[in-house]
This record gives sequence, C-alpha cells and structure tokens, in this order.
Amino acid sequence: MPKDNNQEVKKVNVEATKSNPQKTIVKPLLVVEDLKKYFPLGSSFLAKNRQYVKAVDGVSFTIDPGKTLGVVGESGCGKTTLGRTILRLHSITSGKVMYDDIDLVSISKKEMTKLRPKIQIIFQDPYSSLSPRMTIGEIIGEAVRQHGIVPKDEYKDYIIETMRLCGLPAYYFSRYPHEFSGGQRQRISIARSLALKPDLIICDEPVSALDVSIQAQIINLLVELQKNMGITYIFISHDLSVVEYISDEIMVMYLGTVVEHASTKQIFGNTMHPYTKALLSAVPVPDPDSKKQRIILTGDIPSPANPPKGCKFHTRCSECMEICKTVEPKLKEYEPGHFVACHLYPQD
Amino acid sequence: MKNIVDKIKIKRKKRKEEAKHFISKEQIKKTAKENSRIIKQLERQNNRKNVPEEEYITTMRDPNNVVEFDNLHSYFFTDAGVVKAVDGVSFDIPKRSIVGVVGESGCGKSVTSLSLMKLLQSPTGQIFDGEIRYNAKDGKAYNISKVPKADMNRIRGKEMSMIFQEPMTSLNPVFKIGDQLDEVLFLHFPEMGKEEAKQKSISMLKTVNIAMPESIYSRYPHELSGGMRQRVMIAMALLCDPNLIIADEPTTALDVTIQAQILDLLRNIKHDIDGSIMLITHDLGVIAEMADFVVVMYAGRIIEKGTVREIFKNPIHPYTVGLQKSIPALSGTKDKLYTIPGTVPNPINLPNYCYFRDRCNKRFDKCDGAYPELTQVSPTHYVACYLADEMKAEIKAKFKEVDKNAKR
Amino acid sequence: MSTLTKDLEDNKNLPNQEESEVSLADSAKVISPGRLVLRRFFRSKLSLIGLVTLLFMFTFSFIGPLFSPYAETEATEDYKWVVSVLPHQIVVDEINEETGLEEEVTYYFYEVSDPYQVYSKTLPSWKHLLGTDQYGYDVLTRLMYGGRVSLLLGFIVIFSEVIIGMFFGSISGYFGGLTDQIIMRVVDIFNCLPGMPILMLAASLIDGWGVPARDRIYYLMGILTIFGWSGIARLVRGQVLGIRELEYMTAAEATGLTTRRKIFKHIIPNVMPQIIVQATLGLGGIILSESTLSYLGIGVPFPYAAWGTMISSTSGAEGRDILQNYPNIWVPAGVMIVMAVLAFNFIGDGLRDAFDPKMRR
Repeated sequence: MPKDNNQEVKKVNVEATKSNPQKTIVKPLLVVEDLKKYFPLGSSFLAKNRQYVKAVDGVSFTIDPGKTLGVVGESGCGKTTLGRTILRLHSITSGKVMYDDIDLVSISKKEMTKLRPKIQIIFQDPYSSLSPRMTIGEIIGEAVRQHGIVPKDEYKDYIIETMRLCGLPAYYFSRYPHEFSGGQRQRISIARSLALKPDLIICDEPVSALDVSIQAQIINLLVELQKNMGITYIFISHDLSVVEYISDEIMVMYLGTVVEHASTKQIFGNTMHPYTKALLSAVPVPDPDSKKQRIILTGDIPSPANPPKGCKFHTRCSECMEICKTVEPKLKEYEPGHFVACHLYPQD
Repeated sequence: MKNIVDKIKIKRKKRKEEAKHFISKEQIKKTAKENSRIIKQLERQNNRKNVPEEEYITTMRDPNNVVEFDNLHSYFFTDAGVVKAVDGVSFDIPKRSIVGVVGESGCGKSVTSLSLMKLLQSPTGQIFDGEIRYNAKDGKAYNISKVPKADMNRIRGKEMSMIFQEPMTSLNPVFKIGDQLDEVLFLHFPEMGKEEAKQKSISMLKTVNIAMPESIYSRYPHELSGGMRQRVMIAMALLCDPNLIIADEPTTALDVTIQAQILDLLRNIKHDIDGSIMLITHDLGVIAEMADFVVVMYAGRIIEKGTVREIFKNPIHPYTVGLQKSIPALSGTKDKLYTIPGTVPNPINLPNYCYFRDRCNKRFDKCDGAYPELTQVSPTHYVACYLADEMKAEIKAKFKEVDKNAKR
Repeated sequence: MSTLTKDLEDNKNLPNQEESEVSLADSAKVISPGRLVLRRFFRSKLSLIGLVTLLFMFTFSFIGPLFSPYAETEATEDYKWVVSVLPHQIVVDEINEETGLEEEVTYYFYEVSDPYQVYSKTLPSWKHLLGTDQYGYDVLTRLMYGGRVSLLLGFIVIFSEVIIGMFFGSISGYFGGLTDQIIMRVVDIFNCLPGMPILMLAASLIDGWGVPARDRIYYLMGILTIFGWSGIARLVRGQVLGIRELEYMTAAEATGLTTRRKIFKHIIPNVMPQIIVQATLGLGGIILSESTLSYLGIGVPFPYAAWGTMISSTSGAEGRDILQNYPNIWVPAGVMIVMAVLAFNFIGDGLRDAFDPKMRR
C-alpha cells in the first residue's frame, strides 16, 4: 500500500477484521517512509554550494508479505538506487526503512549483516554479477556456509536442492560462470539469493538483459517461487508488460519521485498521470495491425542532477499548466488505493 | 596418512570426470591445425590488392532487390571447434522496404550484417561460402563475398551504413560531433569543401529532429544523452545517401519513450530516403511496428521468413509460435507464461538434424530425419519445418476432395 | 522441500534435470579456462623462447655445478712467477762525437720489477671451457653459481614484494578513505627515494656493522624488497578500485559476507593475472639491480660468484688486460644477464596477452 505524505498508514485491514472476524491483521513486511538518497556532485570539501544528484527524493510505500510491488520508470528515475538504498548498499541520506519493525537505517553494521539473508537482491546484468573465478557451488554456497543456514553435513545437499529448484542440474556444481548463457546465470543468481531463505527479494531488472523466451522461463520461476515459498518481491523494471504480469501493485517513478501508485488493474484500467499514459502508449505491441495512437513525448529525460522546478515532468508534458512549472504536486489518493501526483486532479 | 591418500584419490577421480567435459589437448591441436590451413587460404584471397573488377561484378537475380543473401556461410574458426554462426542463410532485401531480422542472442543475426559489411573479426571469422549480391547505386552488382578488403572501403559508408546498438560507445569521445560527421563526408567526397560539409552536417542533424543543431555540432559526445547520440549515429549513417542502412538493435539500449521517438524517426526517414533498412532486433513489438518483411533466425539458420502479417498472423514454425506466445502481452491473461523449454544449443559442432526438435512441442516422426529444407507456403512465406509439408499435404488433400465433389 | 521438487519436476517448462542425460546445450565440450590461457600463451613464439631460455638457465645454474669438476672458489691453475715490464724513454742532451754539437738523444729502456706470483687468466681450453679468471677460478663454474644467486634472489625478492604489495594494495583499495591516503603517501615516499645512493649507503652500513660476508646476500634481498613493493601496491590498488565496483562485489555485500572473505575470495583471485604479469616483468629488473650492485662491489661479496662481480673484473688492476685480451671472463656473464632479463620479459608479455580476454585469438 502506498502512503500519503504526512499521513499515517491507513490500516484498511482493521476494517477487514471488523467485518470478517476470522481474518487476521496482515502486518506489512516493509515500510518505507520518505526515503531520500542524494549523491554529492564533485569532490569539493566545502559544505555549502554542494550540488546533489537527487536520485531518490522522498519515496514512501509499504508492502504486504507474499505480494509483488512493481516499480516502473526510465533511466534516471531512481528505481535502481531505491532498491539498493533499501538494502543499505548505499548509505541513506534521510528517511526510514522498517523491515519487520526493525529500522534498517539505524542498526549497527553487525546487526545488518545478520539480517541480510532475509532481504536479498537479484541484479540486472547476469554477466557481471557472478565472480568469474569461483565455481557455481561456491558462489551459491558461500553465504550459506557463513550464516550457518543449514548444519555443515547437510550443506552440499542443500545447495544441490536449491539448484534443482531453480532449474539447474546438479552437474553444474563445479563449473565456472563463463560457460553459461545469460538465462542460466540469472538462475544461478536466483539460486544464490534463494539459498539464504529470504523473506523479501528485490529484483533489479532481472530479465531485461535476456532474450524473450528465456525471460518467460525466469518470470515463471519467480512466480513459482513466490507461490510456494511466500517470498515478497519488489520488481524493478522498465518493461511494462512484464511488470503488469507479475505485480500486484505498481509504482511509477520519474526523476526520483513517485508519480502514480495503484494496483495493477487500476494502473492499466484507469491510467491517470500523463507520464504513465505516455509510457503505456510507447510500448511496441507485437501486432502489425494495431494502429495505436502514440503519445510521443518531446525532448529528453532531464538530468537528475538538475531537475526541473515544480512538477519534474512538466518540461515534457503535453498538458502542462502554469502551476505545474512552479509548484510540485503531492501524492494524493483519488480512489481507494490509487495515488497520483498531478495538478490535473484536485490537490486539496 | 590414509586421509591424505584418500583425498588424492578423490581429487583424481574428480579430475577425470571433469576431463570428459573439457576438450583434450590432442583434439585442440588437431582443430587448430585444420583451422589455420583454412584460414590461411581464405585470408590470402581476402588480402589481395588491385583486383580487377570483373572478378566480383555479378548480376542480381531480381533487379528490384538491394541485397541478396544466397546460401551464406560465415564461420568462426576457434580452438574449440568451428562455430557455424551463419549456416546457409538466403533472403532478399527489396528496395525501399524494411526487413526485420529476428532471433535470440547467438542466432547469427549480427554476424549476417557484419558479413554484409565485411566487418567480421578476422582471422577467426571468415565468410566460408555463399554469395552476397549487392545492387550498387551505379547499377553494378557486387558479389561482396569476393570483394577484397581493400576495395570494401568504397562501398562501406557510401552505399551502405550501419547504426550500432550502443550509442554510448559508438562515437569517439575525443572528437566533436561536427568533426565526426564531416569526416564521413570528406572520406567519400574528397572534393567537398569545409563549409559545404558543415552545412550538410547541420542540415542532416536537423533532419533527425535534433533541436539547435548548430550548438550540437560543436559539442562532444559525452554531453549528449543516449537518445541524442543515437540520432547522431543515424545522421552519420544518412550523410552519404546510402542505399541500405543496417540497424543493429538500435533501440535496445534506450528507454521506452526514447525508443518510440527513434522508431518514429526511422519510419519518417524511410519515406524520405530512397533506400532500405535492415532492422536487426530481438523485440517482436518493434518488428511488428516497423518491418515489411520478417526473417526469423535460429542458431545460424533461417527457420521462417515472410511478410510481417504472415509471420504474426499465421506463424507455422513452432519456434515462431512460441516466441510470440511467451511475450506477456499488455492486459493479457495471468496464466503461466508459455515458455519454450530448454535453451539455444551450443553453436560448436551443431548436428545435421533439426536441432530445435528437443525443444519442440509438435515433434513427430519425420523430425528424426535430416534438417528440413525451406518449404514455400505462399509466394512470400517460407518455413523450414516438416509441419509445412504436412500442411501442404493437407491442403492438397482438401483440394482433391473439393475437386472430387465438384466433378460429381 | 520434497513436495516442492516433485511439483516442479512435473513442470515441463524447466530443462531436463536428470543427472545422466546432458542436454544438447551442455553436451558441447568447452576448453577449460586454464588450458585456454596456456594455449594462447604458447601460441606466441617469443613466449616459448622465453620459457625455454628460462628452463635452460635453471638447469644450468642448479644442476650444472654437479657436472663441473671445479668448485666455485677453487684456484685451479698453478700460479706462475711473473715480472712486470714497463717501457720508458728519456731524452738527453748530449754532444755528438762526430759533429761536436749538442743534440737530443732518446734512450729507450725497460724497467723490470721483481718477480711476483700471479694466478693465471687463461683463454678457453678443453680443460676449462671458458678459461679461468684472474684468480684462477673456472669461469664456467662461477657462471653457474652466479646464476643460482641471481635467479634465487630474483624469485625470493619478487615473491616477498608481491606478498607485501598485495596486502597493502588491497586494503588500501578496498577500504579507501584515510587508510588509502596514508598507505598511498607511504608508497609515494618510497617512490621518491633514490635507489642507488641508498643502496650504497646501506651497503656501507652493513659493512660497518660487521655482517659476515655470507649473510650480506640476505640483507640485500631485504633492501631490494623494501624498494620494490611500492610499485606492486600501487598496481594492486588500481585493480582493486576497479573490481570493487563490479556487480559481484555488490552481490557479495548483499549476501552479507565478511570483509575478509570478500577480499580473499573475490577480489584477490581476480587481481592475480595482472600481478603475475607484473611480477614476471619485475624479475628482470631485480636481476639487473643485483648485477649492478655486485658490479659496484656492494652486492654479492668476493669470493662468492655473481654475474655482476664477474663483469667487474674489467675494472681492476688487471682490468685493461682482461677487457682486451680475455673476453671469456666478462662477456659470458653479460650475455647471461641479457638472456635472463629478455626471457622474463618475453614470458611476462606472453602472459599478459594470454590473460587478456579481448585479444583476437
């Protein structure tokens, strides 16, 4: 569920319990509050006049366990930085990340290391995310051994079992990554994360670098794992069709801020923000007969180091009004569960 | 002590097992010897200078085609074996049309385009056999596979040009955009003056919808975004009015909205210039929007080719069918995605039967034979699959029935 | 877990999972990574020459002496008595008896010294294949023993340099910040120190401390190491900085591995190829340094054999004589040095090309 700025999380589940006493309250697995990540530009020692790249500029959302949140956007929108900041792979500039009531920002490095098996990440590039001089068995198993996920004598069987779950035959155990194709390497990455028995996996464009038929295999695998093991996903991608297939909720980002956040049905059935509309229409449809009316955006994506004033999208928006150039719209809920940040809709 | 001996025994066994997976030294030596013999022969052919034109002038089968690939075989001779990257590919690129070459990574589509431009990585990459006939602007038809390297420079850039996938690395970072554009002009039109070249470059930048072309002319590549760099690449490709533009995955590295802009641009350009575009991509959506004809490649061979409507509305080869079904279409169903099980085979030492059959869900007894030939299903639609034969046989039988009934 | 596997095994969308059957994609054989590097290494003729030369030198130095009937410092020829003869001439004013005028007359005479003993330098003969030097030692045998010193010194010094350099370079590159700054400034200081003068100073110091001649060589190794590790440290730091940003390092961080494991299992194996190349190239430099030091008299001390000392015989009391008439004493040592350095350079170049994944063949 998304969050309004300056408002508490709506406990919709409480209503559910009132009407149906059998249902238990579902506690969100991850709560992100006003997360900001700024990268300093230049290496001047002076504190003032420092230019910042505002990669993530105030993002808030929650996820329930077992669900998938899709994060969509183009380059420079900050979705990759968001994923890595949540995991504390980048230092957080401000904001809170509550995993299971533990604030990931304020705990010590040691505690964070102990917590890491629970929140994992899968990377985009299958060719650089595996160390070239280690065998597959070592890659998948070293963290297992370190965190003591299973006792020592079950170690090898556990790894082979994890490999099977991800569709890797056992004889891959002692081979090296350079012998494998992109799709198989991505499976190895998934096995590496899966072996640690995580609750949350952040998938950072896991299928963008793969061919179409392999994409389908990997997506099926991810869905299967979620169904059987109850893993929560944050699925980051720029490919709308994949995100639509796998996500329960979708969050659209542009230059570090959320422009629209709703359930998948609402995003596609009732698209509200002009950027989301343009994004949807830009996806090429594999049907030569479809005469889609294309919304072609003018200009290029502005640099995140120098974002436009007011609404960050106004320089490319076909419906830009005067107020868009000066006042930044806030994220407001227009129908239950559907949040938009745009001046086209009443902002009070 | 016994522990150590045991450990050594286990290591030896492991090594023996792994040795079965790795190629033996003698094998490598043999392959290397064979390879260097063949390579020497082909390189000698390729590196001749002052070859008379008659050796590589030929005639086109159909004067309406810009390029005709005729049974092209491009191989890479590596120590691990011969990689048959392109193994018997034949198709045509007609004038003023967009031909899309689809396939997954490793299927040989890039190698096909590189063979056309004779940019294969020698000495390991060679055009082994086959003809590539190119219909030049002056009316002559060149057989590219016989043109020696020294003479290719006249054709490249002037008659056919290429747009690459990575706009970030295709431009030289130490030269201004304007200098790089002018360089192309000076190379092919040595009599052109500086001012004239500058004017032509700026007007070309305008054609590709770059705002403020004069200021972009004097900028460096790192100051531009990916979309703008790709436009500059397209401008460079168009400068000499080529007959053929080869676009090798031009939008894969770009964002979706920028991709829409570039595709729009390419479509408009096709109307303006008098040439064809060979569009190589793995994105079926792009193909459906842009192409007139489609060629589907798999592991070095063409498995289906036809017009874009035939391929999308009536795909016959199970691979083509599977490809289209495995795309999660927008607002489609939430069922499990259809997947083609397995992966693309290793390109070294491919067998001579239909190597898709292990992954095919429509396999039947005929598939155990040799590799299926390209069967004609319609004047433009060809398939390399025994299913096509079955279909034709069915249609023939149906017609026979209808005939019989009509006669009665 | 078992029910899950059964579920997934029924799913036909996953590749074949049986152990014995290998899919068409995997059945193709691949060249192992080690063999690939070796193959590319041996493809270059220069590397082969280098390797063969190195092997030859090793057998020559370490096994050769077993076949030589002479020892390193055994005066093998009898000494002989020798007088040195110096020509003189004086010009004297004298009255010519015939003309009665004064004229200049030049008298030539020889000054003959007392006889003294000298060990004979000899030219090559069947008894001594390369002759003997001014102390009567067999040149060929001394060449072999000298080779031992040079090669052994080279390898030990390089090995220690690499260990120290890799340690400092990796922690400097990995941790960055203040650690990086401190270590790099130390490296800068070491780079600014002039090598030769300090080595000469150190040699005098060692002499002054009364270190026995046999141990001089170990002090020498220590000093050469101290001056060499900074280059390797800088190289390692550069490599580590690059590798640190690669995605598998982020993945290692995300899976919560300890720092030590990350450095030793992930970074260092990927840095090794470059280090190996640099080390082989550095070996040539070490041999040259050692030879220079021995030539200057501050390296391997007399009477122990070293290639540098053998060349230094040309600058001594009998130097001119040796330089002009007895080339068999100093030329072979020079040739050996050149061969050694060239061999290591060829091997280093060949290794660098073999490891580089972007090479065309």
